[in-house]
Amino acid sequence: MVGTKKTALALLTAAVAILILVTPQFTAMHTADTINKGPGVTAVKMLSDYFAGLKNTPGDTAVYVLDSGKPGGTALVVGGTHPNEPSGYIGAILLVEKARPTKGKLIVIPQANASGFTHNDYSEGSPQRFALTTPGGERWFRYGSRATNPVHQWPDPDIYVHAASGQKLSGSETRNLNRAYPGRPDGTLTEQIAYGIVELISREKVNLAIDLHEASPEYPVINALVFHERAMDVAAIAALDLEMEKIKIGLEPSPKTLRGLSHREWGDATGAMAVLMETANPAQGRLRGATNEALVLTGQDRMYERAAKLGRLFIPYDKNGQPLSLRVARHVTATMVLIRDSFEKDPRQAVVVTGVPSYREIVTKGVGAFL
Amino acid sequence: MITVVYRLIVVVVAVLVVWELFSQKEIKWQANAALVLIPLVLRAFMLV
Amino acid sequence: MSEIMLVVVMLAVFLACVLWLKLPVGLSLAATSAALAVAAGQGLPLRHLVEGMFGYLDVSLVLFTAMIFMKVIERNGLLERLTRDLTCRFGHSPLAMLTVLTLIIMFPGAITGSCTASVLSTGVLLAPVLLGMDMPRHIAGAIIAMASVYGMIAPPVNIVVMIIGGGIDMPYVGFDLILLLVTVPLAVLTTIFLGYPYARRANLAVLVDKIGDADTGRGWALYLPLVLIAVLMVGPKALPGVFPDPRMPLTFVLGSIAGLFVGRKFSLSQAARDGVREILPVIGILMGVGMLLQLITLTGVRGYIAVSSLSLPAYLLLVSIAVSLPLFGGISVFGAASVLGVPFILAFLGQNLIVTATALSLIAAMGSFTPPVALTAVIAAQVVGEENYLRIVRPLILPSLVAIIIGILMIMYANPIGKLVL
Repeated sequence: MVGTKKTALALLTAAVAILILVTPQFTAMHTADTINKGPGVTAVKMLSDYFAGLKNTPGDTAVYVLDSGKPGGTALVVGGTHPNEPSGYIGAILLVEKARPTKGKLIVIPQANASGFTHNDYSEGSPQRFALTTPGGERWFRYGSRATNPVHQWPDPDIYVHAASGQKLSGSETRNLNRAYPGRPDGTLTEQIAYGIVELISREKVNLAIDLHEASPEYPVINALVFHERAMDVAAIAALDLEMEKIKIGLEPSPKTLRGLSHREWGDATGAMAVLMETANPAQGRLRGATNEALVLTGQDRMYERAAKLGRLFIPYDKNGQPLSLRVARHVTATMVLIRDSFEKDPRQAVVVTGVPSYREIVTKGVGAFL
Repeated sequence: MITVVYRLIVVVVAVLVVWELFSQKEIKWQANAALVLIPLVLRAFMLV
Repeated sequence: MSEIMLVVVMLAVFLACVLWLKLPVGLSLAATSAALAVAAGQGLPLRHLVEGMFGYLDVSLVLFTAMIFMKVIERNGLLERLTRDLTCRFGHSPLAMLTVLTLIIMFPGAITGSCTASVLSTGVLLAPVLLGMDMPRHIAGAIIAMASVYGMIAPPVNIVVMIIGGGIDMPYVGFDLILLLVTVPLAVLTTIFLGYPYARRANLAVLVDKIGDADTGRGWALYLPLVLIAVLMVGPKALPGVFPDPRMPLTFVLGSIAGLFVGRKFSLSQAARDGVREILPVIGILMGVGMLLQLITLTGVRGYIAVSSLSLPAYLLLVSIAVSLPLFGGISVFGAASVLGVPFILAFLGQNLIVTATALSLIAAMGSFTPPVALTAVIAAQVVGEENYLRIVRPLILPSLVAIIIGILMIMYANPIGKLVL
């Protein structure tokens, strides 16, 4: 068909119409989730309080301080390093809203990479948000991307060179917070966020730092606890304690060769015992079937059932799937056990946290019941 | 700084694509140009 | 609708668009993506269709700017000059000529990890040399396409391996030697296999004469844009953290600007417009691929393909790799690396993973020629002026099969090979 100036104008108008229709859907992702201050929260700071360079940037994020007012140690829980791994940040939000320390201090960063919450990974077909049923009604949370939003950090280099080690990774990893540690004050936005978190750990003299993640069910390090060498004893005791509660968790030493990750760099750069935990999120795996809100919430997927039968998965998987509540329950329970066990040796450094629902409560009532 | 330079590159490319949209003689190639324009405009304005 | 039915709908709509409606491949892919969403009961998910395109935005900018640069050096005379100088220097021996041409074509791909960079930079530069040897257009195109694909997986940068490695947290370290051993000999042999019959017969002296009367002068200043591009491409990789990294698009923009100041005078805006016009069909394809990748993920077709590829019995796993990895490349090579490459390497966790990932990248790279997208072949066709890209694909079938078989053997004998080489 012959194209004229008129048809060109019509097509241009159509393109503009699509832009007008679609833009609000993308910009809506910039509206922050509601996180309520729980009874234990004594101060809400920002990450920029620890590294001023983050002030007024999309990398700044809320830091919740739950101080018992009684001397003791300090524990840090980080969620939302990867905003497409919801059990990590929902678990952290649960702690903000429910935990009540009675000794020492608990610090929680529920959305570590705030920029990553403002978009979705291209070609992944992720839902933008999911709803949990809570006593106060339906509550929505964003399902974000693994990486910093290119709108905030662009363009990527061809190759990402980890500044401290020279390690090379594919260019898009430049925006992966968990490859950016220990970070740089004059680096990319992602490196600055990493730097801010490491500054927080140092300045608050954090004894135990926990990074909450998820991975795909076909990934070998799953339902696992990755520990820095200084956290080895604690990790081993916690794994045994969890086993007694019928929660199986694998132990993985943090590889010395893989740089930029929290369990390696937090431990190397600060005095904290660094631990990273993974649950299994079928919504981020490569073998998943249709991708939608239901998959995020139920973790049920026919393709993963098939893959499990083929022996391709590193977790037991059946038609019950891996519901979000189960994954949050694992993270929250393991976090509580780690906090308890880590200060056993030196009671003066203890952190005691109450008010957090048990594994069974979260699994049976659903995580929404506590938000 | 580099981001500003790249936004500028995107703007220039987008203008060239619009120019092309109006000089193509077949509707299907005009449509092709219109399609390509969508992500360019969204990135130029840093909306996506 | 079941996944298998969605696959049928997908193929039917795509073929109808391309063969019956004669739509451009890019628009056909867009229509296929939309049809897939409707068939899966998703309505018309505008956000997903638009979001998918962004998967290829950065690559598109490289292509846009590279193409403009090509138009610049075509017009200022650098292209002719380079052809003439190379032919004079290596024209005495067809074998030396073909080897040098192959290595030069591979270079940009090797340092950027993108075969389009090779096709569009050195591929364009050297196409006249190949054609000057009285090579048919499709053979010249095939040589450029294959050398570029080997360039893409040659060290120092192999993005396919990085994607596969990223999926299992394997750092991109220790790959240089094995990648070099796999790519350079195969690339040179392929070029000789395809091109020697012509290069041998060609009267290179006449060729030198024919292109020797260009009015570009003898000064070296004409090479300035090329030197600038080389410095900007190599610098950040050689001195990371010290040399500022302009990334590829800005590199080509700066090269284009430098091209204004040397050689013949020409209109930059006209060169830019011509460049954009020629590359737009390819960009359209990339946008379509991005949409389709997002939509097959959304609807579960991607998982269906991945799980089905893994469903084969163990002894068929290698067959599945040999078939599905290059086939999926027909949509996207990097997509194949992510969707299939990662599950495949997980099946071989016990053995030498550096050799295995190298082999998988070699096999996946051959998907660069698989229709419907066949991106490398399509661009190479454009570069040599061949109208039907399938004519370029045909002579590459045998060399690709050889590469795939070598890849499979590498997976089977990964441990001994690893001991030998690493």
